[in-house]
Amino acid sequence: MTPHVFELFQVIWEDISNLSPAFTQLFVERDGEGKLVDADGLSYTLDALAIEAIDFLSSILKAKAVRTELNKQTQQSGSEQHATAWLQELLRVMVLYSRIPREEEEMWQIDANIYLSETTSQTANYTPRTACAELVTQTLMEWFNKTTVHALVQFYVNSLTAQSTTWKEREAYFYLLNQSMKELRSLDVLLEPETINLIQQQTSAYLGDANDFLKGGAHITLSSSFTVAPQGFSKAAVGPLDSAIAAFVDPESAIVNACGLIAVTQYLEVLPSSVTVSRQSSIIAAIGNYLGQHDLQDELEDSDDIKSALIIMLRDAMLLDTSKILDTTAMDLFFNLASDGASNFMVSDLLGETFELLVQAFSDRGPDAYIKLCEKVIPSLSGAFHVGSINEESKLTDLAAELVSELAEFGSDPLPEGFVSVLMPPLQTILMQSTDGSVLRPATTAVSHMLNKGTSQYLAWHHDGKSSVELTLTIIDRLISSPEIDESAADEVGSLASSVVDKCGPEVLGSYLSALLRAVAVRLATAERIPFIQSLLMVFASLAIKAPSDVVNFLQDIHINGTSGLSVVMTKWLENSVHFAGFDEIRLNCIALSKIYSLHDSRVAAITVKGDLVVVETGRIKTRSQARLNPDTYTQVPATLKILKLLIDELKNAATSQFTDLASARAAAEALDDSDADSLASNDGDAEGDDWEDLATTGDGSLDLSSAKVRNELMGLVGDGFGSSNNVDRIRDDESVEYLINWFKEEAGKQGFSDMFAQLKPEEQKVLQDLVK
Amino acid sequence: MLNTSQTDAAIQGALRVLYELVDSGLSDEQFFQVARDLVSALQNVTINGNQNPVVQAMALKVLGACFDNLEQVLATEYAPAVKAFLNESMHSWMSFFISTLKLPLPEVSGADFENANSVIQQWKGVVALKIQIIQVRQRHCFPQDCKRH
Repeated sequence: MTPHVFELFQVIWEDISNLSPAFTQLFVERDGEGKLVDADGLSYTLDALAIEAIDFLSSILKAKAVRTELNKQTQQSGSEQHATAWLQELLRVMVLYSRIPREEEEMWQIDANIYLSETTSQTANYTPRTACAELVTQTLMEWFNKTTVHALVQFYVNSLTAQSTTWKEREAYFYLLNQSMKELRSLDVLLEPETINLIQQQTSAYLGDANDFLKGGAHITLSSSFTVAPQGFSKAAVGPLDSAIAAFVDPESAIVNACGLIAVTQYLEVLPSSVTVSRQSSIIAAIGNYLGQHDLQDELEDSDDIKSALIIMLRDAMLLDTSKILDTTAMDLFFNLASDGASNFMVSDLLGETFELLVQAFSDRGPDAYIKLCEKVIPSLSGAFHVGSINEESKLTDLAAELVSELAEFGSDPLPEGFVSVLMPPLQTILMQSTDGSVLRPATTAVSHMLNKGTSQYLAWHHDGKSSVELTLTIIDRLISSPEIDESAADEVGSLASSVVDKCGPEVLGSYLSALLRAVAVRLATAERIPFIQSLLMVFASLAIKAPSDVVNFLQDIHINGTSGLSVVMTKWLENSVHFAGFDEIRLNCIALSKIYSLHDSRVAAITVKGDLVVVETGRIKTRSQARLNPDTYTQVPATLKILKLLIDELKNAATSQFTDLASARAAAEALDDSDADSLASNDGDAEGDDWEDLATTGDGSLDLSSAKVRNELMGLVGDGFGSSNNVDRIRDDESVEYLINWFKEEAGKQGFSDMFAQLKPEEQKVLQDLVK
Repeated sequence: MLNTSQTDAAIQGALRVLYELVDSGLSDEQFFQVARDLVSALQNVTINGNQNPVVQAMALKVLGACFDNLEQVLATEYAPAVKAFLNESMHSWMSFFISTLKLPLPEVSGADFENANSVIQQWKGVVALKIQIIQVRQRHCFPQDCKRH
């Protein structure tokens, strides 16, 4: 069949090339209806045929037979690859089918948001235009890399400079060129200065064109050229940036505005801030100008992509230099966009992230900057709560609570005066009245962060004659015990309770402390969802780290439905620990459990909990009906043994997350152990280089460098060391492994450990034998 | 019916039923038993026939569904037989495909374009047929001719 392949390629290419005048007549110049399908599911319109044919060309251009033949043609012609006749002809056809169809042109003029999302490839609308872009950016780019761009630029020089060239052809060229540069950028490929110069000349000529689409396309494509330009071009970007800002607020055309928006955002993204910072205030002013021209609630009501792009532009402009933005309207614009965008999930997510970055940027500049930010935003936030409660715009309230939580979490310690007294009342109202998890969760964390960061201010706050402690305990009580609040809405209550216990202490809490802990223990007895169980248990876990025996004594003394509190809590704890999530939480949990074990308290040992799953070999697949007939059964083991099992499991997980098998984990652990003092010291600072040296130099024969596996893992460690985020986890894993190994060593020396050891499963014993010698 | 019917309507009706059957109704074994006859009947309608292009397009749609099924069979014990069969039948289709793709669209005058949608209806058959040819060829690109460079 192979001989047919090239013939087929040629026939289809000729066909689509011959059909282009008809396509022009029906779809480019007139608004013929496209993508029609008959009753039998057969598509029968020319645009669908164009898509099929272009896709076909796209895939058959990857066939060896076709490439060989085309390469032969190139060689015979003697011309350079980018100028070769067949490639230029192919691009000619691609430009013809990339022209904006009349129907789209009319639709985009009515709704610039659709134009923006299709231009930034955020839609699934597949058209001949997008099919051409696929062919050029995927098939041709994979074959010729940046020579594809050279070929496009050459095509423009050869064919698109004539008077008779239509704006749609030039716009189509800019479109394909832009898509190609985006692809190059994703491949980290830069163009040569000559090519960039040519592209900038070609696009600059149309920045003021009378046609909106051509003008807009020129702005976008020009801005993209800076994303693939070599060093030295960024200074030349100031002029284009200014004209993109002007296009963004051009009162004549919403299309040009959308293109200016894309272009400015792109400039902010790629140019060094030393270049863009001088334009910060004009960009912020332009956003205000744009929002004055286009009403968020009216014209832009459904324009979520434009709104997201505006938020990104505002965010990037503000982050250029946060020291001046409080003198501008930037924060007002942010809250303007926030109060409008809160109801859209995607937009409100972006708003939350933006605010978090802002708060961090202000905090990084020191407490004074942060206080200024608070002065600016607290009235807006409190206003948002107010508006939210009057208009029952619950989404606005959710977002406001989220923003307050971020403001407190990333704020300076202590929080500025007035923070709690202004923001606590609306939060308190929400926490005492709402039943909706989407506002209760952020409101709970907001209170918890306020208490942690602004402790003295928080404790001094009072309302309606009640102290803040009393009010907070009432909130916790409601979240824990009220029948109208489901578990998922109260997911954050445990961290609030922990903050209360941690920050207030027994001297402030007095008898409230035991009431609070009792309420948590009682609620645990019936808790069902893992995150909620984890949240509540963390209250006891953090206490147990400091005072394990107090926790055990306290729990032993309370009674829940006729059982001791200790039994209720330990059972829930040990049977759910394995499902806990969050790095810090898991680590904290392990330490807490180890402290409780180390008490060697007979009351703990007397509690029986689920141990291991009993595997019954029925020889049958476990279907749902089988599961009902033979439910899972577990061994029953003492709580102390269960603690050992959990800690061994965690030790294995933490150790093998860096090493593929236990032997290499042990080798590394020994290496660490031998230089314990060194590595403890170095772990504080930058551990990358030091760990590596520790491993290599203190191997004392236990580390077999001739083993390929060990070598690879060591190389992996080095590789991880450079700015990789894994690295942080690895250091933390190291600490967990080290803590547990030392703990097991200590316990192993104590009386009675061998009895416990004997009750472990062989694979658990092996973990200890391998890791803890 | 495909071999004996005279009218487009009858053939089109038969093709609709066949499409449903091939697309979802038949088991692998059932399908494999009739595949050869079915494909040659479809050839009758298209390559040898003189039918309306819409009917030919429908026949190719059924052919596409047959190839889909055959490719699933490629994973079974029938694989060698199926491969031979596919190669053999592809050969006879190929020249039909190529000559059909070369067909021009029915002539329309410049003035006719003023009513774009009526031109679209006029071209329906040929365009639908070309689309089906490309889809059949596209979806069933056999390893030897789609070998990557």
